[in-house]
Amino acid sequence: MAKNKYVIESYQGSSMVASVCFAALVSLFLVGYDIKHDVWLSLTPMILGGTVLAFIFSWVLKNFKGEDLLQLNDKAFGKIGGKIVNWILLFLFLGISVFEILTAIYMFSSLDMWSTPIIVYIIFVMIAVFYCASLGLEVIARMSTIFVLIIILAVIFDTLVLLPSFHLDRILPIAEYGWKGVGITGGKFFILQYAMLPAVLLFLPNLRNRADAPRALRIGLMIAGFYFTIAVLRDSMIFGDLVQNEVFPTLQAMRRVQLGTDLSRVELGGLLAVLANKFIFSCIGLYSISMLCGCYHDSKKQKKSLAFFAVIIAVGVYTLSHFAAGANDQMVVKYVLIAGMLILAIFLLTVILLALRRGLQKNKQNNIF
Amino acid sequence: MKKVRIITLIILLLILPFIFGGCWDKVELSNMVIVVGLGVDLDANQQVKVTLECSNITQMGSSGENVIFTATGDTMYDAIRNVSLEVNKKLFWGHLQSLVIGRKAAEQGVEQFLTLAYYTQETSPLINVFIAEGNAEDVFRSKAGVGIYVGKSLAEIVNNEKSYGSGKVYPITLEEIMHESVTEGVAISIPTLAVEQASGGSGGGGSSSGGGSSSGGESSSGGGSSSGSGSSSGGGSGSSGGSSSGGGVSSTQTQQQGQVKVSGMAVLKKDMSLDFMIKDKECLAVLCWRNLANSFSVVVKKDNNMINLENARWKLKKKWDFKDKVLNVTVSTHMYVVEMDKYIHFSNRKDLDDLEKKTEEELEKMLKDAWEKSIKEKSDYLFIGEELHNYHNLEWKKFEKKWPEKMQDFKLNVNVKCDIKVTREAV
Repeated sequence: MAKNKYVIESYQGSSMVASVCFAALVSLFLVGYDIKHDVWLSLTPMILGGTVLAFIFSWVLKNFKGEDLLQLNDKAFGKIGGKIVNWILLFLFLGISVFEILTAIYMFSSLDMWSTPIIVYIIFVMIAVFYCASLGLEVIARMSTIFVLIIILAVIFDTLVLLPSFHLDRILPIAEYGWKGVGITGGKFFILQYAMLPAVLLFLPNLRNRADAPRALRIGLMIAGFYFTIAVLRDSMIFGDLVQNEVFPTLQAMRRVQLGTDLSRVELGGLLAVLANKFIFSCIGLYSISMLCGCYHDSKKQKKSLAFFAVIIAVGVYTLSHFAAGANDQMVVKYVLIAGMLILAIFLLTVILLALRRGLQKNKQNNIF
Repeated sequence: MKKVRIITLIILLLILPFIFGGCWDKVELSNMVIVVGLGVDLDANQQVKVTLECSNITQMGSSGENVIFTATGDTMYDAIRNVSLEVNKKLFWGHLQSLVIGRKAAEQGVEQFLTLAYYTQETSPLINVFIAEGNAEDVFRSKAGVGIYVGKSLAEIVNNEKSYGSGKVYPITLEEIMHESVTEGVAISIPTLAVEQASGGSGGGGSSSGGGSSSGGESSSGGGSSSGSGSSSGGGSGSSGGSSSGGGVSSTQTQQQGQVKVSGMAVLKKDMSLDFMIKDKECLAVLCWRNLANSFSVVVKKDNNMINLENARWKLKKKWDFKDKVLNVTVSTHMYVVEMDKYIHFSNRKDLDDLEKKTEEELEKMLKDAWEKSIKEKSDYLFIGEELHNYHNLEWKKFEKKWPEKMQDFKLNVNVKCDIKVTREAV
């Protein structure tokens, strides 16, 4: 019997949730520019915010079992309103995907591969992303599980080999640049990490066991939280105030590895983690975008839309590369933050409307009886 | 759609051999020169002159020979690019061990050189950095330790200091300097190198050009200097004694190879230019103040008897009294008697107590002298400010802009507690 392309297991759901959050790591240090070595402190507000968000998502998944983001938007805003919101989300997801793919491509340039035209990377990346996304949700979920495993192993390996480079005094004094800065950066962290999280509502309702969805989400968020805590704390302890100058800190940190004469400079560990999470994020991003335009559960239509949006993203990445000064372009990060804020605001509005509607329905039922 | 899928698959399969083939951009060992040491000087025209100590390995298993190339340019990067005008192989920077900056260049500021080396992907941030008392080029044209390569030997010499060296210098890597450069208040200290000329030798010292050298009195055609952005290849190979001709005005001379030694430490100003140099006990004091002293020895004079003590444990703690502006320093140290001019039995506890007292006085003086020098030079090379910044940040904020000048407002109390044991060998 052929596998259902749209049904996934709980552990695959968790890994997809983690993958959606992982991609933000590169941008975290960019938004923490002002607070230098205190950047690790901003993890606290981010994790607290993430916990609140986990409860909200769990509530949605529990109370609207099997309903995806499109159906929820229809329910909250009505049929036309829902379509408009879907298209707004689609454009915002597009913007974030373009940014994430561009930062991954800039990483190659930072590895002294300046001679290769950026269009070559874009074509390679988008063909691979399109191909994987076109294989369906189940394949993306399987890839995601493998990639999350690779990322976690890479993080553990990186952290172990970098232990001699840790300097606890480099994250001192605590909150040197003020708690206000920590709070603001924590807020930015929160937006960047969870900007694409509403996308999980496009595939979590497709779990084989739908009741598992809230748990799968929580596990996914915990994996992402673990990853971020380890990576940010580690890089802060390695770079101290110099972390402000690093766009790809993990990659740069791996240049410091020197364990006797046997093991030195294993940048591959850092490279693997970054590339794996950017790739799977791009696949999920493209898949979500194609679903938001309404082409889902129709394989032919979906592939056409995937191809169309892959080209749009490629053009977007190429265009943005002409405006962005590099991977550390603060202006682009600002736009991503705005996009993330809008996505989360729209989602919260959806949840509030759903809660109100549910409340009204309950009242009606009580009045009937 | 099936067609699209097949076409995509074919395209991906066609791409795969290029990505995973692995050998399409290979560079054979025989087609590259491995840069082991990098020297930076300023020439008479204020141009940056780089000296590359390269390893010429033509086959696996051989240790190769060292070859020196020099070139000048407007910047360090420009000069390095100019080197490739005379090197027929690809420069490989992955095994760079030491970066030596000449005194003249250091006086102008080292930041640009360090930043380039730090942010260049090919080099490791763990390379050791030195400042030459003369020219960096002379350092690489001399001999260091027993190895073939000066850059590698220098790195080994300072790294040995961590465990069993003189205890008077401490290795500092590029990444540590970069970090210290953004640490508020403190002054960076970097090991210095001096070239001791062998008897009858000439050159070295102040000369930056020429200076081709070879061991065993063989001749080498030295790379003369060339002005402007032209490059000059320094001739003279190291221990192998081979020769290579240089561009520009070449000179041939016969001389003994000098020997490089780590001579002390150079203290940098806030703008990363050379401030002053310290030697011997002053260096030891820096390491003691920074709790970096692991293995060192002190000589104490007792009743016309020179007694040598080896440190086994050193712990310096600072306690600040901001109200009365006092810095209380307590030191706890364990030492062993390892050598004496005249035999003392030490079975009498009083003799040992006397020795302990004398040692405590000696160490106290050393620490106080370093503190005084730090105040006099207006340079916090003892890293006092770092502790204030890290652990007493609220107080630090009151005088961070006037540090290290504000050091003189604090009174220093030093209390050394020395516990001496007598080893059987010494007795």
